[in-house]
Amino acid sequence: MGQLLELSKKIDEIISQKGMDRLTTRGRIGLKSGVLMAFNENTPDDAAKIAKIKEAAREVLGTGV
Amino acid sequence: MRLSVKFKLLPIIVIGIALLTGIFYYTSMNAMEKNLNTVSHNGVKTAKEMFYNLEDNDVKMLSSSLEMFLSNKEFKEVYLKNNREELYNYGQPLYNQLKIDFGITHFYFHLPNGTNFVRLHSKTQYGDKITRKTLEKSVQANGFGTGLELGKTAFALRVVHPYYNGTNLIGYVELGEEIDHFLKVMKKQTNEDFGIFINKQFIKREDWKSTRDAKGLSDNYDDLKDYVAIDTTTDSISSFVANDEGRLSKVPAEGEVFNKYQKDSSTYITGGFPLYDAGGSNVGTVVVVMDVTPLENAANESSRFVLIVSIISAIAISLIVIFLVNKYILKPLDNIVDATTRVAGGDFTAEIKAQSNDEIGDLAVMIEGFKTILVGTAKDLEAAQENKK
Repeated sequence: MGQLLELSKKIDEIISQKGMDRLTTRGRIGLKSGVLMAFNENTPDDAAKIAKIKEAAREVLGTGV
Repeated sequence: MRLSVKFKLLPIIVIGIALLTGIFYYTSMNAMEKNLNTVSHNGVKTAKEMFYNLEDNDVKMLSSSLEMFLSNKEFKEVYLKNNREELYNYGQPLYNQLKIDFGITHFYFHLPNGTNFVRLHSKTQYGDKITRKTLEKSVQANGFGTGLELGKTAFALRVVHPYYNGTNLIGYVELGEEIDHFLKVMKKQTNEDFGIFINKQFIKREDWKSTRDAKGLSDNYDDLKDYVAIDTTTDSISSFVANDEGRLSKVPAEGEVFNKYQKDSSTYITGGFPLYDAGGSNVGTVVVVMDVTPLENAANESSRFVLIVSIISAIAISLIVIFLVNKYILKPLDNIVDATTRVAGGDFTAEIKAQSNDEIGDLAVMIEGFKTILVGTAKDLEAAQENKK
């Protein structure tokens, strides 16, 4: 557990580095991947969701996570 | 490539409005052309009415003069003496007075058999057989015979009446006038130019040349192929007729418009109506040349104005349509997209507001409902996971 939350935090860091709007950017990643970007430490790990979010994040952020 | 609806709509709006502008401009041009056409037809119609009114009035004037003369007993006594010289001399004061007062240029006495006895306007000419339609009509009607008749080189309006001594027919009296003044009066009243064109089959070349020489005028016999202008208000009229000469023999009774010409930055429209002689034969055509430059200029100015107003209106309408599409469709959609994206990003507080009471507002309400369901479900799942722990 916690892998999705970790990924979410990494994405937040990149968003912050790039000076993008956090919620809008996360929303675009969420809509692209089909995953609601709301995680906590209890969110169960899901390899398929992680792959989808990474793929979407690469497209939206322009860099890999 | 992503392209905003705004830019997708723009060409449609621009093409649509350009099309409307074109239709509006074409309609306006068409209306002006029709107006010019109506004016031209009316010009020909008016000229024809004016010409034949002048003929009617002059027939009345000649008939009245002749009626007055026929009741003159002294003149009849002189005529009955059968002395040509005496009649000629006796008639001169009256003839000259009629010439001055009414423009009467022909005064004849014919014998009952149709032979001319004396011409008060031409002493040396007599004894010829008169074969004119007006005399023929007078004989047949035993009254007035009137109408236009083409002489060797010109038209004359003639009025003939039997001459009686009691119940005995002693001859015929004829009065006539040349009709040169018709075109002058018409020109004065309308400011348009006119010309009477006669087919060359009715005019002998040598007669024409000698008449023109006698009047000190240039010989215009060869200006046109088949027609000759026997009377005009301007020398240049033949140049207008040159291209339409073939139409002169086919002009309908009501008259018609021939053509439009540009000459020295002026616009002219030509037309004409047939000229009938006393026997009802079509012997020529009266051509009308109308200067429509002021009308054409006004029409062009109006067209330019219509075009400019249309273009400005098209631009203004395009801008208004784009503004309205932006305000009532694109902006609310942008707001919905923005709020939806924020919710997907985890901001469950983002509110999707219905900004208008229309389909876009309905969409916002619906998505706000979905968001509430989604957020509720997510929270329920989270609570369930907490409980599992």
